[in-house]
Formats: sequence, structure tokens, C-alpha cells
Amino acid sequence: MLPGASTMLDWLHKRISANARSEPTVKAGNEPVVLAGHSHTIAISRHPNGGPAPELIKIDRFDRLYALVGPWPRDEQYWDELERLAKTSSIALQWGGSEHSKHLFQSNPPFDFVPRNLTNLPVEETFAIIPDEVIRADFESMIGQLDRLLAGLRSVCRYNVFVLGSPPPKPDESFLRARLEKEPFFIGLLEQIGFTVENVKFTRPMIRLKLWHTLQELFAEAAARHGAHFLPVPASVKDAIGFLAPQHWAGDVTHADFQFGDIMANKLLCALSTATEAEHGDASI
Amino acid sequence: MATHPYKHAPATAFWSRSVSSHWNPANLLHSGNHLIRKNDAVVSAGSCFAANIAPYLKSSGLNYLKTEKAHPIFATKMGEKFGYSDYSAAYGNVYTARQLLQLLRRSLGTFKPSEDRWYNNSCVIDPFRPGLRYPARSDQEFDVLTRQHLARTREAFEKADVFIFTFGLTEAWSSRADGAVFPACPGTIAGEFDDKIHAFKNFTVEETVSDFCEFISLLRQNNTDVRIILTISPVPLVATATSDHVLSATIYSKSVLRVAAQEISRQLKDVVYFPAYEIITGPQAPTEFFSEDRRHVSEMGVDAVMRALLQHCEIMPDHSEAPGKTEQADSKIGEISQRIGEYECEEHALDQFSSQ
Repeated sequence: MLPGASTMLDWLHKRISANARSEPTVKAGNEPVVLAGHSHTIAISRHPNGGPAPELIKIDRFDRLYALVGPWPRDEQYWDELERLAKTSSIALQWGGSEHSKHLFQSNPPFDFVPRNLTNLPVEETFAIIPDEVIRADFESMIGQLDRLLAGLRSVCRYNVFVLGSPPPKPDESFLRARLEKEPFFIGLLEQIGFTVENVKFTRPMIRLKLWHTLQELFAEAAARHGAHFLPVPASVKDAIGFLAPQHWAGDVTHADFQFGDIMANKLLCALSTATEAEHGDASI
Repeated sequence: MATHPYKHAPATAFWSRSVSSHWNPANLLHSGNHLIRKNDAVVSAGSCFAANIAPYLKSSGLNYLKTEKAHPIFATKMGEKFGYSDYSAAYGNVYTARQLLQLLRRSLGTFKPSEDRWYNNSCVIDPFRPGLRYPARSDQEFDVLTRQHLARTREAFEKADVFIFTFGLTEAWSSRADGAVFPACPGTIAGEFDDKIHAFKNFTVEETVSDFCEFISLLRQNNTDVRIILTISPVPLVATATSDHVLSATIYSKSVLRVAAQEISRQLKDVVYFPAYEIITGPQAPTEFFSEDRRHVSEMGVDAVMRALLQHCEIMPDHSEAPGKTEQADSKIGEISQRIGEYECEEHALDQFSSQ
């Protein structure tokens, strides 16, 4: 059906803009999907090695899914390449995702907080209570960088941009201690300030879960600000409380396993179909 | 030779010998004992002028007690305005004796104002700390933050060896429901003014004396030996809600407070009036003690007041201390946590995944 007269100018404007900003493209729904970002992408791509330059590789287990691999840490060249690819692809961005771990060890004094959307969780009132807004502001710099990237991607991408949720924390302190014991780098750092892996205190699991939840909300809000979609971690990979289910733990403090990656990839492709139908239904006109 | 009461009066009794000449602000106070001793825990509250006290005491090596302060991990994000970080706990400016009394009663759980929160743009505002930079975002968070704040406030009151209070105003806005005094008129910094529920109050000498005496009585129920230093802010009113000119209203207000302070220190044991107000506003004071707006006290003026006060305190000759091992560890623990996230986000991830 042709658009109504009142929206004709808008419709024409959209068509002209879409044509002007796009390189030759395929029909929405058939476009490649490029996974990019930081270390949690590896659970999906299974391709941790980063060469000296950005490189697009096919993830054979999934139709249409590619990964942009490249040097660690990610550099300007990497993000420029992603922006170039965004002209002809949908983008699945795994931005950071371990920032809640900056409070892995318990501070002095220990702190707790009341997340605005999780007000029913227990609060340790003998700890210093930090305003939720301060906790969010603490992630500000990282979210600011994400904002800038998303703005750039949205300005060139005619398909969909997704921001992927990252794995919830692992509650088991003995597991975490065992991982850290294998890390001479951190053992040395802790020793310098009079701690050992055995006696350093971890921030309580529930507080780490709240921090992770806040981080996910910030990702979702950043996505919404730029017309992107946020893909949260599904309940199936969590335990009854909301931590990462043990069967999905990778062998370190923060990461999830390949099966977790497959679940996220399937969820991504499913969400892409839905989004394409909803938002790009007129792409073939 | 005839004698009379002035015959043997000290030099400080004579303008010509103590103001026109030999002026020394520290001589305004006759005190045989130190107002603050080297190990005293000092707690302060009051109008904005009172915010000047803590930095001077701390830099002089005196023990300014802070029971509520920014968490070291988040300190750079938690910078406050409106004086919330300037006092022993984060109560901000306390202008009147009634507000101080109610603060103590709230901290003891014996006064729960009916208008205890305002809602604004998904924020829950504390009417008694309306300018907080990071207000609560839910009722639950508000309750937890307020409980903690009042517990820290109570702790400060109970641990103080010396409590310094600077009277600021007699004018205040309060709730018609229960008389709760707000630090600022609703609708100025936050909230909405409603003539039906908010009332103007200009406290008298009698009310000020009564409120402050009740405050001390209550304070000493849990802190028997606390000593009190009273001062009056020399800063004029920013505005008056009376029909008077703001200058007349200021002089009235300060006069009431000055008389009240005299009366309180006369009536009660271990209450000393320190004449900051006189040092700044007396005829002997140089023009430069006020800034150009003739309202804000200049650094030079503050310095003169604090030097006079410190002459009556037991100052440590050398008070500089290097941070202890524990403090260093505290500041490092956050850094190491952060590095775990960064470390695992980079090359290290290769090893962890390669085993799968």
C-alpha cells in the first residue's frame, strides 16, 4: 500500500536517504551479520587469535554470521573497518562486558547499593551504601565510548545493529581463587599490597550480580539511544538466582564457554529475523 | 584617689587599647583552656560559613571527625555541592537551632517528618538534603541511603568531644503538618512550594535559646562530656521572606542569634561563644574581609577568623603523616580488580579458550 499523502514526503525522504548512504546492498534478511568487539566475542567466534590487521572470518556453524577479528587491544583501524562493514551488514557488537569485575575484590570499606530496577534484592546495610547513580557514573567512560561507536555505526548502517549482553558473574569464590592461583601476574600484584590469593576478600556475589545487571542496563540504554537493539543474556544460561550457570563457565574469572556463545548466536539470528521483519519490511520496495 | 569599676579593668575593656590599638582578634575570647585539644574529635555543623572550619582544623593537625564520607573507590564521582561533603556527616548546611534539633532527633529515630521525600523526574529527593548530586532513584534506595546517613549523623554526634555549631539564620520554611524545618524553601533547590503545606517562620531569641538548649540536653544524653563552641555566620541573608529590606532583616536575624548565643553560653556548662561574627563585621574589620558583593566573606576574612580560633587550640607542632600500609592496600585493591577485567579482555583470553 502506498503511504498516505500526509506521510509521502517522509517516505520519499527515507527512500532517498537510504539510497544515498548505502553501497549496493542485498535484501534485508539476507545481509551478512558481522560480530565484533571485545573478548566475549570469542565464545561465539571461537577465534581468539588476532592478527596485526582486522580480518573478516566466516563463522561456519551459523549461516550469514561473520566475525571481525584483529589485534588486541582493539585499535582505531579495527573500529574503522567495522564502520566500513556496517554499510553492507548487520552488526552484532560485544562491547566490553567484564567491567563489573573491577569490583571483584572487596574494597575497604565494602560497599553495596540498590539498583533502580532490582530494588527487591537484599542490601547489606552495614556496608557503605553507594547511590545507584554513582555506580552508573563509574561506568560512564566506557559507555561514552560505546555511544560514540554506536553513533558512527548507525550513521552508515542500513540494517540492524545489536549490542550483545555479556555473561553474568560466577558466584563460586573457590573457583575464582583457583583461577587466580594460576596467574603469577595477579599473585605478584596482590603480594605487593600484602594480600595472597588465599586471603584476599571477594566482593559478595550478590553485589557483583547487581553490578553486572547495572552494566547490562547501561548497554541496553546506550543501544536504545542510537536505534540499536540490545540482546540480553537468556535465562537458560543463568542459575536460579541469575549467576552464570556453572556448565557455561570458561576457565577464567569472567568468560563463558563456547556453548554459551552458540546460544547467544542463535538468539542473535532469531532476533535479527524479527527485527528485519519489523523494521525493514519495505526494503524490497 | 577615687576608684571605680573601670579602674582595674583589662585593656580589652577599652576600645582605645584593644581595638584602636593593639588589635588582636584572638583577644576577643577569654579562655584559660584550649577550646580544642590535640586528641579531641571535633564535629561541626551550621550555615555555609561553617564549612570553612574543617579544612583549617585538619591542616592544623586537629582531629576533625568525619563519619560519612565519599567512598575511596568512588570518590572522584561523588563530589558534592551545597556543603554535603564539608561536614562530619553529609547533612549539608544547618541554618537554625530548630533544624539542628530536628536533625539530632531524626538521627535518634524520635522524629520522622511526614514530608520526608519529594518525587521529581524519576528521582526521590530528600527535602532535608535537596541538592544532593546523586539522589535516590527508588523509594527503597531512598530509605537505605537515608538510614545510613542518619546513622552516620548519630555516630558523629555521639563521638564528638567538641561540637562546633555556626548559627546562620532565623528565617526558615517549615512543614505546617509537623513543623519540620527545611534547609531551603521548597521550590528553590528542589520540590514544589505550596502555601497550604509550607509555612514561613522567623525564630525569636527565646525559640532559638530553647531549641538549642534542648539540642544540647538531648546530645548529652548519649555524649555526656561533649563541649560546645558556638559561632555566628557573618554572611548576610541571600534573601528575606519578611517585608523588611534584606539588610534590615539580616541585622535583625544576626542580632537575635548573637543574643541567643550569649544566653546559651551563659546558661549552660561547657558552651563557649567564639566571636567569628565580630571579627568579620566589627568596625575594625577591613573592607577586604568581604568580597565585592559585600555578602561573601573573603579568604582573608576566613583566614583571620580561623587564625584567631586556632590560637585557642592545642596545635601539634608537626602533624604530617604518610599514609599507612593499610590505606595503600585499600587504594590498590580496586586497581587490581580492574586489571583483572582488562587482562582477561585482551590477549589472555586466548589461553582460557584454547583449553575448550
